[in-house]
Amino acid sequence: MDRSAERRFGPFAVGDYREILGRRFKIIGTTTGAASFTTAPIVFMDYGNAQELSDVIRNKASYVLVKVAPGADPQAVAAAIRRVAPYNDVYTRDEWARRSRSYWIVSTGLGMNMGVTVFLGILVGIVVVAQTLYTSAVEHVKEFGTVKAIGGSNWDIYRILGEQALIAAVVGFAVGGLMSWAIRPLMARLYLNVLVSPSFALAVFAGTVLMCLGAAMLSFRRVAGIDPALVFRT
Amino acid sequence: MRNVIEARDVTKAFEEGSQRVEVLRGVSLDVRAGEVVALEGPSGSGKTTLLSIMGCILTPSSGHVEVDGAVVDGDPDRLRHVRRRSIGFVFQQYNLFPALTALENVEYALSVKGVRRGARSQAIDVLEQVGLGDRLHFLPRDLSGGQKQRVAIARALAGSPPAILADEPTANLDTTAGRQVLRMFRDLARQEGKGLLIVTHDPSVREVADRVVGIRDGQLVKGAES
Repeated sequence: MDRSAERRFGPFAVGDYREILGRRFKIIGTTTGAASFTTAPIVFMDYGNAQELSDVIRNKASYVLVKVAPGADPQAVAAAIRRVAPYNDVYTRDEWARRSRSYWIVSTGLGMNMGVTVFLGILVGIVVVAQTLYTSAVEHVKEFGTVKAIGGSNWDIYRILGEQALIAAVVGFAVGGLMSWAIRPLMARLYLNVLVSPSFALAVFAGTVLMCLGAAMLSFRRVAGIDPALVFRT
Repeated sequence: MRNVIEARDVTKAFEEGSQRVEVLRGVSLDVRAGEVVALEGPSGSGKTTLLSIMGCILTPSSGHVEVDGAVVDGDPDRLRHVRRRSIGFVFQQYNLFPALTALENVEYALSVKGVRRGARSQAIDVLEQVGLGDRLHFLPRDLSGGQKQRVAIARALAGSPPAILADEPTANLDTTAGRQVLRMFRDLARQEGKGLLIVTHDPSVREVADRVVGIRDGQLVKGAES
């Protein structure tokens, strides 16, 4: 039984008994990391027992797990099985993992929920960064006027604002990354793993930089219209 | 001495609602290399507008302006190019970048002027020239008014433009600091052949000026030139 089942069954140990769908089972081992998206916990049991518990799978085999011999090519084995069982779905481990993720992300609506959350986060982030940079640009309008007066172009000022946006991106990414890292133990207690791969972190960083540079566009428009003659106004 | 700035029959008018306000009316003024020209006039007389036009920040409504031999037209890029190459500004409020040290302020001006290689050593040179060799890494907030203005002068000198335009450079300084700044202006004209135009209310500027020009109601005052 997976440790995440403690939420449903309370604390348990190997050798304890628990009732599942009206039958009493002895716990002979525990797993971790097999948390369920639903309220029903995941329990691994003998297939015969499982068939007896559920009318849906009684006298049926839904899945057959094939373990390939060491050195065998899983793709080739899958292709061979497809040839002898053409009316069945045959997947390698990686293909099956991809299908499972796709099912949970696309078919269940979880992806839409997460997507909307991320979209709102980006939207709020853009608004906050844009507002911060714009306020900063307005506060330093005389300095930008001075840059223009001494011969600087709009691009010279865009570069300053761009650097500020990059600083905001780096600081924001670092703070966000540290927070994600810090809440890992807490999330683990909820049986949720925070997985941040290097490629994912890189993609988020690139997105953060783009977001901040996009947010700086509002300030770009403001400074583009600065009249260098304002340097003579006291 | 050649003219570093020439303004001929310059007029400038602004539209204020339905009214046309003429700020400058047929002004002609030259600033020669090695010369300090003081431009005096009451508030609203048009002296800052004339400074802005001669400094290529504003374009005249009519008339002819030439800076260091280059005819100035209304093209904003050309105006910027002339400002970058030929003019250094000194402002009443110093207008230093507060987050940058004295050295960085001058270095930044050099980078705006397109000087990359050797910018640091050039910046150090001009700061030493204005007597701030021991204040290179001070932020503007840690400098006195006179020192800030000297950093501003160093910034104006960065890139060695032939003309320096100063707007009320002594207005925020005490008498001693003001005199130091003015002596510095005079030395720049004498030793480096810069042409200086100083807009001022300060009578002590007369002590260092080669010419004093008065302006009233948008016109140079006859007989005021000395």
